[in-house]
Amino acid sequence: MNTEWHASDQMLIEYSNVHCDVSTAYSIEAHLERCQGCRGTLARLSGSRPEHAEEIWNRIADVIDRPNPPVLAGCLMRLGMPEPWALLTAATRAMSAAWVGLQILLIGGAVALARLGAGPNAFTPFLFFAPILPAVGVVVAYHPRFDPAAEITACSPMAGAKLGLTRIVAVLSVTLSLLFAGSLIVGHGWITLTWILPTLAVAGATLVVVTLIGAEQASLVVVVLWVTTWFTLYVLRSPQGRFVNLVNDGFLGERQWLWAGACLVMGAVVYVRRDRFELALELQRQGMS
Amino acid sequence: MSVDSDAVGPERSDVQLLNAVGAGDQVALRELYERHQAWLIARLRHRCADPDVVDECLQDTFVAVWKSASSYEGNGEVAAWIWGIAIRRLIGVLRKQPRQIVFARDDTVMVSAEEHVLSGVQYGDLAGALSGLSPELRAVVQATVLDGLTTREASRLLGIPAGTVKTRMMRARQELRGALT
Repeated sequence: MNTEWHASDQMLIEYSNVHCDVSTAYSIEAHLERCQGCRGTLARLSGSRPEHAEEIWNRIADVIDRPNPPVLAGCLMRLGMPEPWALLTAATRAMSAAWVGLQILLIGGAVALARLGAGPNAFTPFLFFAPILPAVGVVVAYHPRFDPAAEITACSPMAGAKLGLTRIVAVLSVTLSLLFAGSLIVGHGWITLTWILPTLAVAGATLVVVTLIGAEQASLVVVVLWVTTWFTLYVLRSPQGRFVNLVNDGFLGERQWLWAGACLVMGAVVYVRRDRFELALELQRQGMS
Repeated sequence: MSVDSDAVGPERSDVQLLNAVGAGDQVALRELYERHQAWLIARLRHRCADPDVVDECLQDTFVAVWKSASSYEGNGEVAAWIWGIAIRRLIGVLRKQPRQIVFARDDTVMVSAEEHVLSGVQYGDLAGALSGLSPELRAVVQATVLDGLTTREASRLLGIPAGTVKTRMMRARQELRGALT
């Protein structure tokens, strides 16, 4: 169209110095989009330092050379988590395929039992084992043995209670989603969701014990307590009762209020002691033991 | 319309470079950057007075070009396509930061008669009419007409409500019509 019109050198110099009148600027801008020659002239005349362009190029090259973040970190970043946090959270072994796979296997087993067995009693293994998974997951999330970069991470400015808790929350959300999916597959109505409050309460209890004695022992203590409590109750109760009935009773009806109360108490204690979730603290404990 | 769709010799055209970038050629991106950074900086500086923001925006723009080069459909000028990215990156960067002085343009400059004639070749009487517009109206004309932004994008760039963009555009149109007839 306007192939005969070209911007004069004077116009381009004034334009690149942001020092020209509005109609000239409009003309030049409309023209530059279509004229390689005038773009080249502008680059030559604009008096910008080549080092400056080089510096910005280095920044660009830096960004595009960076490898893509791992899938999980990418998801977390898309959810609005800042990049360093997403990377450190996803680096947890608890997010590794092995741990997630193990959980799927266990939950899948319990689900299969519930589907194959008859009646709501078949659901008992699921109810019994569901609260154990997050309790173990806390160790995997938090224990230095499961983080190959634990010492480096603990020295980084990001390490601290917040990172420890972020990892734990990430692990718990994966486990809880898997359990939830499992209970949906079982599908015995509302009874299949009775694991939620007990599981949260046990997870909360695990966190409280973590702040006292460290991750490894905490999980062990909680899991042992969980199993022995049920068996003790079973022994103390009349011998004619069945274990499944006992477990089912423990999850049903008004008992849910007890579990809800326990959740609140544990939540409050965790909140008060939140500063104790230090990766460095955990490292120290391991070093001393 | 594209003049450079047939490359002469070893020199690759913008379209060829962009296709190469889409295939992951970093050297092509570098060449594209060298060709376009100067005018992009100049044009961004007409819209944002803060040089750091302009630099950040230029960087974001070429990272975006790297990522989305394969989505270029081959119609229209590559330069215009890149500018479309750049102006939207500028909106993004400005939204993250406290508002900068946008459209910091010195309007008191005396324009030589020669330049008036030259720009007259491109726009005719429009030059005078544009100069007669208030800076607020001109900013809206620039964002919507020249940069091809939607009403909503323009409102974000200028930091004014979308309704205001529309009314200012209407007023600008009336004033231009009045000045041209």
